[in-house]
Amino acid sequence: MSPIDNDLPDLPGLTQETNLAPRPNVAPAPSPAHGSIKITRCPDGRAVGRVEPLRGIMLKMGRDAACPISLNDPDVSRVHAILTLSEDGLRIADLNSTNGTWLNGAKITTEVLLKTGDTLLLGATVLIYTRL
Amino acid sequence: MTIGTTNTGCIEAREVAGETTHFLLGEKLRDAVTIELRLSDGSWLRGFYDYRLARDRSRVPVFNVVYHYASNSNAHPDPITTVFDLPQDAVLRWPLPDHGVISNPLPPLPASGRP
Repeated sequence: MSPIDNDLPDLPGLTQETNLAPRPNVAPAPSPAHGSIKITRCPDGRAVGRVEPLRGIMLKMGRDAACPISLNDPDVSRVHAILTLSEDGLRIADLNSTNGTWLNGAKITTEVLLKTGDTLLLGATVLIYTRL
Repeated sequence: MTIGTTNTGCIEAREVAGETTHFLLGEKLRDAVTIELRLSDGSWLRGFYDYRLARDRSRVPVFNVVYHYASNSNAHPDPITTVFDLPQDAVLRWPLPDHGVISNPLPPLPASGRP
């Protein structure tokens, strides 16, 4: 028996083999989506029809690839808007973007609560929000 | 037949800075703005305005309708969208009295409510 084995505590039902066995590489389950956005228009057309499930409490939208919702649109700012999950639903706020964030055709200047069917315009990209 | 209230009208195309721009009741239609289309039974269909480029690169106004259908399963279905060209004589209206800037629709979140 090696010195290491001697250091292991005696746990009922736990053998040294199971204790030293490599752990299975299991990824944690993703949090459930609380909504989705569907792209219905974008400059190059390639992302049309793409549906992005919304998970997490805060989601940034922008041209930057590091944004959870990354939009390939030159008229979208690098970090353009933010979605924040609150008790009453999902809110959107513009992050001082160059071209603004438009909700159902109106420019938002403060945080706004989204509802199913709302249409967002960021740059030349049109997205539809669905609450799940 | 005249359908008529002061807040209904047809799309008007004007040339602005060399581009076809669409107006409704004298106001420029912004991309993805919510508007309503009058149906023959007198009801209004809500959707949003957009445009497509014709072969000659002119802008053709289109109407997008989004359907969130009831699913018979536990899955959350993606919305269905349909798009069609808006006829020149289609009667439209703004659905909301204020379709300008949304400036203060919500009370601010309490500081403790923020993650």
